[in-house]
Amino acid sequence: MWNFFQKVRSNPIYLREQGRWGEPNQYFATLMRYLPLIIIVVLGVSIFCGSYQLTQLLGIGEAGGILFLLLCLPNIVIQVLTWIGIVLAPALTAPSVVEEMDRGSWDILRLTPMSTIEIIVSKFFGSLSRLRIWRALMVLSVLYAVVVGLGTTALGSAASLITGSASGLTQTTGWQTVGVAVLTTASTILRPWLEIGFAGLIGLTLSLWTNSARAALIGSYAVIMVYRMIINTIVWTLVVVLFIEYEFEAMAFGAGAFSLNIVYFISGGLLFWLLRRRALAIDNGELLHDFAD
Amino acid sequence: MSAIIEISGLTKQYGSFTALDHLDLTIEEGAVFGFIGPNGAGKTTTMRILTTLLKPSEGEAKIGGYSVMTHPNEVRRMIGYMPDFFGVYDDMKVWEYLDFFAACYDIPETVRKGMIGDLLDLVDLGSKHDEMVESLSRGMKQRLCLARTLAHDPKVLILDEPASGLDPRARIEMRELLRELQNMGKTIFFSSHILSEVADICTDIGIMEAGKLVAYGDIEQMRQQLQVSRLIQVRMLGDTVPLKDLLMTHEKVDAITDGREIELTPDIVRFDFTGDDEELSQLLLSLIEKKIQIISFSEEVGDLEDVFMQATQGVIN
Repeated sequence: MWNFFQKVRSNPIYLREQGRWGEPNQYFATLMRYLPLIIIVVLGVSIFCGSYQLTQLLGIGEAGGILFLLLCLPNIVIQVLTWIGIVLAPALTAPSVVEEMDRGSWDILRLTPMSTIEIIVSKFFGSLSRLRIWRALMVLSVLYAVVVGLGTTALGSAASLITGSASGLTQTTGWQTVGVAVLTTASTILRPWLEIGFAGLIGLTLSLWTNSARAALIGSYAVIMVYRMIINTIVWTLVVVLFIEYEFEAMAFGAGAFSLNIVYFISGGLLFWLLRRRALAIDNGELLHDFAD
Repeated sequence: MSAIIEISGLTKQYGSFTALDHLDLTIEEGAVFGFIGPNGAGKTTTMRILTTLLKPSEGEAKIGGYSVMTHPNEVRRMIGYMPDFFGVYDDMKVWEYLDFFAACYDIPETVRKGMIGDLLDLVDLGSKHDEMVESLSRGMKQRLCLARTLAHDPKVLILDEPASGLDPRARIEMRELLRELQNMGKTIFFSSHILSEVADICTDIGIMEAGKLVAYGDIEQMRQQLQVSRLIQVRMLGDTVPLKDLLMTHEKVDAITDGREIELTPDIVRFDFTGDDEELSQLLLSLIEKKIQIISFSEEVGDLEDVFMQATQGVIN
């Protein structure tokens, strides 16, 4: 795996997507000009829809709210970074193949000694590597995961200390607590990467199926939004029905959060399989009906 | 000379549509092969198969002994391909464009710098080294694309309509460049609609129509192969009627035309002759024996257009 990533990192197409030769992506360059605005909007929405609403729900007052906000700050930043990633990833990947096809350079790339799937994988990782959020995301998510994991296992639940018996998490004991800790920790670390990677994969997939970068980009945002709404609704409904109905409330949070990771992982795997099939079809000349001359 | 491109029974079908129909072709190393034919004849399909971009439905194609089907990577290292849609990156500088593709062919960074300068000099773009690609004219972009095909020093160049859309000066420059590449020992396989250019620089020519190779060889061979008639022009003293009467009796003479009918002087007669050199000299001898006062007796050399028109029937796929 390490060797694979090292090989990808030295691939010229990866380096080109990173910006070593020219500026390969005008859509990304345009979006980057609006980055401050995107950050303000995402930050505002995260605070309003997440922590602020939760403090109201938990009824912990203004001081408690500020304390809770501080405790949640790493998570808020993670959420902001994740959303920035979700917004920017399709802008990086959606034009990457379709623009090559449009300008006629796709065939030239395919004539290099690289396979089509190698080109596509290099484009995927190369373009996503332009997001300058990965290190911050890694540090924050590990930090936050440790806090959540330790909080859940050592103290039963960080939330339970603040909210008393208001949360079902206070009823956790033994293996349930460890299970919740493991699941929430893994979920906290993995989720941002999976969500951003998935958004990028959607963009790349549409880039191979459409004939315009704009269509691929708009289509990517549409698919991501619809997909997130459907998957979140289905997973959390199932979690609530299965776990709360069977009185395993504590596991519901951990399993719910982790189930989404599994869903993203499987969906990403399916998309990659589709990309690979498409790449093979291109290699076999099954898609190019260019018999005009 | 050994064969560097070998094509046998190459067929490409899209459903019930046959884009390429059992093509057989051999091209010698160092040759400049001109591939001509109307739109839809199968030229690009052939080139895309040769470049490993398309898989044939049947048959085999080899470049340098490597099959395009089973050894695509070896073939790719051996060829340089310039599509008709030449695909340059406008966001790069001229040197960056060549550097990127050289890197794609695993050429070490230390070698690339000197190589880029040489390539740019070869295509006469040395002064544009640091310019953005988008600032280049179409002809310059075409030459830059050609330089890109040379980055990994391929033995075979496959060029799809290299002169298409170029102004006359750029066309001449491109033609000179192809000559230079030929002198460097490259085998050039290119398609064109501009017949005069093909005739000018090609050692061999293939004419395609409706997916089939209808004629192949050098122009002279093809004319013989297609039995294209030779146009003979005679200038004489006195009345041309006796000459015309004599010619009419010859079985290999056809389409006798008086100079006045074709806006030439009245002392000229033109006719088509389907015989060989021996028969032509016999005809001249017989005219002299009949006391026809001939001033000049010459063959108008038929061009590629004649061969092309003779070979093709306007069938479009």
